[in-house]
Amino acid sequence: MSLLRSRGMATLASLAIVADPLGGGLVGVSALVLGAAALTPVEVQAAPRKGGGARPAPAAGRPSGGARPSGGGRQAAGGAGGRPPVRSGAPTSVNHNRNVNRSNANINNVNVNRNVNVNVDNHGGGYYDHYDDWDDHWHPVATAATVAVTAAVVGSIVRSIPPSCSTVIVNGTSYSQCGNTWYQPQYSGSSVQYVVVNAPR
Amino acid sequence: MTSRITGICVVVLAAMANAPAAAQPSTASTEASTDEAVVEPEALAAMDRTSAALQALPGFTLKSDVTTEKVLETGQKLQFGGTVDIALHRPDAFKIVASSDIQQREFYFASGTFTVYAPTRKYYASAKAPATIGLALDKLKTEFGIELPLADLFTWGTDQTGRARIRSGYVVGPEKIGSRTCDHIAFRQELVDWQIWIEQGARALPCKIVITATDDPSMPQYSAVLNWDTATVPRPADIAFVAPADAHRITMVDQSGQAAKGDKQ
Repeated sequence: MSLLRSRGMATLASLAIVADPLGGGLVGVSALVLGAAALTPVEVQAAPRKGGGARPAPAAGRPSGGARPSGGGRQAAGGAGGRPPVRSGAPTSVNHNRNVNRSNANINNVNVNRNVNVNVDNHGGGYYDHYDDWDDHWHPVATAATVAVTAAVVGSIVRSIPPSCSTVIVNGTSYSQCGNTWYQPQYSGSSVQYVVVNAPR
Repeated sequence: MTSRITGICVVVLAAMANAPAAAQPSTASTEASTDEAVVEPEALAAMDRTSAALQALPGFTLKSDVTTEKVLETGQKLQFGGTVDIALHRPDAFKIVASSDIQQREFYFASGTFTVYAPTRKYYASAKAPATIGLALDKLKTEFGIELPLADLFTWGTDQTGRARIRSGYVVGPEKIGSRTCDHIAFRQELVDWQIWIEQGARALPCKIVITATDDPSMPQYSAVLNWDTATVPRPADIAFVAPADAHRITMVDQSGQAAKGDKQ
């Protein structure tokens, strides 16, 4: 029994060492914390970034262990259910404009709160901003049901529309018609978003 | 099995030996910016070599296997794989096809016109852009909030400010990327840590690039293994956008009035 337990801890500790240099910061740190806490009664908050003593002493230019952006403890995903919103993604180039969750163009899904509070301004957390942005295929199940009964506010912007909407060309402009609601798709960055518009004439 | 357990035990010992030491330096728990910022000349020299090699190419085609990560509000990371294929003709044309299970985008630039196309949604948008790639990239970023995947490959060697942003850099050592032997170099700068593997020998092209965001505690990471074809230079006409019959043109929002909005491709 005790053998089993220490093997479990060993796995955790080795996880820390394997994962940390790869940049899996949180996993590495928390696993190390767990492992170390079980093994030795030490103050563990300063768990070093480079995890473990398996690395050679730093040479010139190498950062000496420690010092990483702390972020542990922010986890514990509660009962958010299936798919929590995306708050950020990996940058795809080195010299880029990084702007996580601070977007001015905050955009809600159509299915949020009867759609009357669609918010084109900034509010506390822009976390939902990226939810549909990063996935071309995903449509919230609730969307289709809600749109039918909700009068979308003209001028509001959504990231996704129900798959049942149809594309209609009026005077050379593409619209998506979803029942009585008309959307005009546009690119914002490389994301497609939909602006609620009056029925075109 | 026995050897594996032995290995694990060694790891445990290492961790135990390290734990007390790790606890001592309380200063180590501060922000990464307190790292001693040393930029090894060898690291910059390697970047200069690969930048020169890239700039010397009149064009190329490149197929890359990428992984990218999305951070959920909970801090959990999800990883997705995909490909980014690039065709470049200096100085005035490129085509980028970024494809993954979660998103497909195509980016075209030729004859001073830029086009973004979402093949699954059948929407494209075009905009006039300066005639050369570097200037066009600037406009896309500042005016339309579009950042292209692996755009560094276009600009390294021309963007002199890139070097100034680096606050830490060192050569890790030679490593194998597939059949290639490549020098692994690690850099840190504001917002990102990044790593590049540069092929040894005369070619000196990047074998692999890894970019880690440091402004989110979950540190989402992008990784791309690059497979080059420098033998054939694409012709602009061959990589220009041709709207599919069932595609619809839509508009592109001018974001230059807003705070720059990073592209989350």
